[in-house]
Amino acid sequence: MKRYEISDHEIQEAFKMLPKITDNRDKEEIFRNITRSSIKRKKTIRWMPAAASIAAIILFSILASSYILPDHSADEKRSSSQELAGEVKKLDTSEGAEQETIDDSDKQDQNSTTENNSGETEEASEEQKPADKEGTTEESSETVPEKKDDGVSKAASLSSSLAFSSDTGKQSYITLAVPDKQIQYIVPITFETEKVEKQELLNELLDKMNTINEEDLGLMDFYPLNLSIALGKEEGTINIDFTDKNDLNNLYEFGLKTALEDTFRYQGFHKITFSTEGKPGVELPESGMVPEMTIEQTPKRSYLIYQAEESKPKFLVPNINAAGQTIEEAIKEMQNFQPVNSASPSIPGDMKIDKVAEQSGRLTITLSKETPLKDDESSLLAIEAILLTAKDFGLSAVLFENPGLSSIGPYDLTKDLEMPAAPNKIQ
Amino acid sequence: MDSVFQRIYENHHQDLFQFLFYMVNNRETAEDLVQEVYIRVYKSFEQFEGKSSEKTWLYSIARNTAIDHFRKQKSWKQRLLENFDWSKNEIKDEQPLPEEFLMEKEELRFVYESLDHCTVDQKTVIILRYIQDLSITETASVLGWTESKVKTTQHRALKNLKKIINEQSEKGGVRIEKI
Repeated sequence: MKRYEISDHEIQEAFKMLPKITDNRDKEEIFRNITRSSIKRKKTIRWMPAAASIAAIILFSILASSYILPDHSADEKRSSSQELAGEVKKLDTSEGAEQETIDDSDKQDQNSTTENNSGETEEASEEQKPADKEGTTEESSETVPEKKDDGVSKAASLSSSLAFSSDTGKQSYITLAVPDKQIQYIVPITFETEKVEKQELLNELLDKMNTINEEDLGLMDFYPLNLSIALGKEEGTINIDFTDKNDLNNLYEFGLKTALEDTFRYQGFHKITFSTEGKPGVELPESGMVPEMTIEQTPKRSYLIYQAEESKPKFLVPNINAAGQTIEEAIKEMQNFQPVNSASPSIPGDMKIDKVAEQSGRLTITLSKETPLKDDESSLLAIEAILLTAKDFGLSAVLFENPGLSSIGPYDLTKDLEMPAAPNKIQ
Repeated sequence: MDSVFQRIYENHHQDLFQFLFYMVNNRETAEDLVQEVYIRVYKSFEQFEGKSSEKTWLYSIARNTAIDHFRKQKSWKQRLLENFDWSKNEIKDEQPLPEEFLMEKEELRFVYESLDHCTVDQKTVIILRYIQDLSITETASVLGWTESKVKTTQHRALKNLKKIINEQSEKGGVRIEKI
């Protein structure tokens, strides 16, 4: 018996009957994976590296070990920090004119503990006493001097997450801006350091890029970057050299530019110059040829609360999606913001603000007498978000009228509050 | 979320995913490769001149992504010893049958498996034409070929498939009656 032979038409029909295959993952997950892999591939090492790359790695290890070793001698570091006190003053002033007006010999004392970052490794200076998970161990040296005079002990249970610049050179900060997993927000994370000299601070920053565990914070695994970062020729500039542009794409470009701008703004730089293998400029997929980027010192952004998930720390983040408004509008947005993508309003809805006024660089927030501030975390975060927003608008002081409390956390609400240097201090 | 991503996802994602799945016969690999397609799209979006439709442009990126995947699968030694020609070589697939096919009729499973006896080019044409339902013109645009080359490859693929299916049928492995 002759077997039936399949025809062309039947084969075609058979293929049309094959099951429909669908990707069952949700859109957000796919987008997250794409973003992550497009950034992670910057870290892949090619198997045919030029001899120069190997030499660079060896050189880097020598350099890295040379500044890790002196860490064993804290005393030595301290004395050298003090000697370099003059240097840090110079650096601090470049962070913004507002800081010049509020120099106060006791400013160094405002280095209070942070409350949200229990998971971080300890890198604090010796002065920093270990804080418990709620950040409740607040030493007198960590509060503003005015508060000490009040003797308000209750306020000590709330601690600030903001870094304030020091004018003694004993302590300084580095800030690393890390994108969240959706690249919707860029979260500036601040670390204390005893380094004060610019090159040392940059080395510390590059080191932190290698060691930071972003995922512990609920953020994108973004660092280290496959870029060479060095101090620029001009004062206040930083140069970024692209050696491998193969993986640059629009998505990566956006996250990279925003993160670099925010990182170096808090470091006190005003311009980023770009180069490609030493030659000026870089060809970016979206912007085209970019020789340099001026860092806007007063980007006029409002600050919101960002928390990736309940088990992760809360951060104060600039709303990079809405800028260029007035300070009044910014404050309003901080209260009326519709929670989305892990971001939420930084000013509680029940905190009634009667008036927002700005005069000669000083912002006055008049609160309603009917709704006195509560001595709690959300009020503290609201005050800190307002301080950061005022700093982003180039203001130099904030005064709260009718606060209903004489102080909260380390802040004396009866006086002008100074501008912080950087947000989200973790240890 | 990025607007380019949103648009491509809404209009083409499932088609691209299905195409890649049939190319590589593995869900996890298809998931990785479809992500790679987006990354390549971001890199070369400004090069898209609108000469072809967005759909065929995306398919051509997906096809190149799959071919690069096959290339990576080949060992270094093989790559050094031969200049691989995708129009002559078959993909020897050793993947287990994806779970999507476990419930299908035996005949359909057999048709699916017969694809792996085709060359990569033949397989691509069959998937684009009969599974993804692209026209001859669209397929030519995806592959950067002339329409006559598509027709020839399609003809050879069908001839090849018919031979394989009928041979199998004669061996008594699978009885191919009317599907």
